[in-house]
Amino acid sequence: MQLVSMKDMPENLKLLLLKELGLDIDKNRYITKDGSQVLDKYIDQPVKLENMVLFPGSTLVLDDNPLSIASYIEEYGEV
Amino acid sequence: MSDDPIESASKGATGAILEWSEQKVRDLVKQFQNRKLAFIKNAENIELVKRQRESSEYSILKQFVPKGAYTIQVQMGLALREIQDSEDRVEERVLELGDRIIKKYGLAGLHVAETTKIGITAQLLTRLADIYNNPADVTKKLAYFFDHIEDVVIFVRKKDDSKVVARTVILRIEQSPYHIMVLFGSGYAKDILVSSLKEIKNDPRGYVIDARQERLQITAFIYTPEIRAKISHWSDSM
Repeated sequence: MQLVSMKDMPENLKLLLLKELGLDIDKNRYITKDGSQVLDKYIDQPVKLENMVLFPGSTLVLDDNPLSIASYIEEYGEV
Repeated sequence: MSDDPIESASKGATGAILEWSEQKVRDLVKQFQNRKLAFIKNAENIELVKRQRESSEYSILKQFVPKGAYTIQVQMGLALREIQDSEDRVEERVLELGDRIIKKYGLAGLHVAETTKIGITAQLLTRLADIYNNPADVTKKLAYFFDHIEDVVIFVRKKDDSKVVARTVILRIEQSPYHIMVLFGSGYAKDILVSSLKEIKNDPRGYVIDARQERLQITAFIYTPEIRAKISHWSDSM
């Protein structure tokens, strides 16, 4: 799997990316789906636009931190 | 520097990515939906995790660490060590990761990570492999160690009473089915730890003390005398 860094992606394009994936953000910049905050499944926390990681499959939205990433790799294999 | 974001990110590059456009995002989304790529914030955390997973220490530990939560906690311990040894926002990153570990696994999970960070898990594995010939036995004992980490490992503090620490060790080691306790102390707590070990050593039961000093910290493994015969090499230098 190839990894695309969003480090320098303009914010309007991040929002476009989310829209293309059926996602949005709320007023506090947390990722939402159908109006509800999306939780990082490994730490059970909402994910901010600035700190999101998107893995394919069922469009897994994770917070960018070592614990969530290690948990993802442990479950789905190396990325 | 390539202007291809996929190539840049896949190589772990951190430089600017050129020519972002709506069309490029839509093209990338198609590849994402075909499971060919993932979007990451930057390469830092993925590379940190990968380095730990590929390390010699983890390669050995993973053969014995029970699958599941402990696997992640051990990886987080190694990650904490690398962050601690880095020069980039150390305190903030250690606190953030520690907080996430506690929220996910509780304080005991953080202690498993910290125990791995300071090298106790690897040292314990060496000793367990020395005592128990069967790998399945080693895994079973390591699981017990993690399950009871709050009881088996004592982090000595400078305000502790050395006699109380020694009594606690003796009480717990006799109750433990595997008859091993670990004491760890750093900085000013080292003196308390050394005094505690002297108390333990003077006990007529004849406990075996295997202590190791590294820079400003001491790690000591204490065994009941019944374990002594199974340990082929041990030190008692304190």
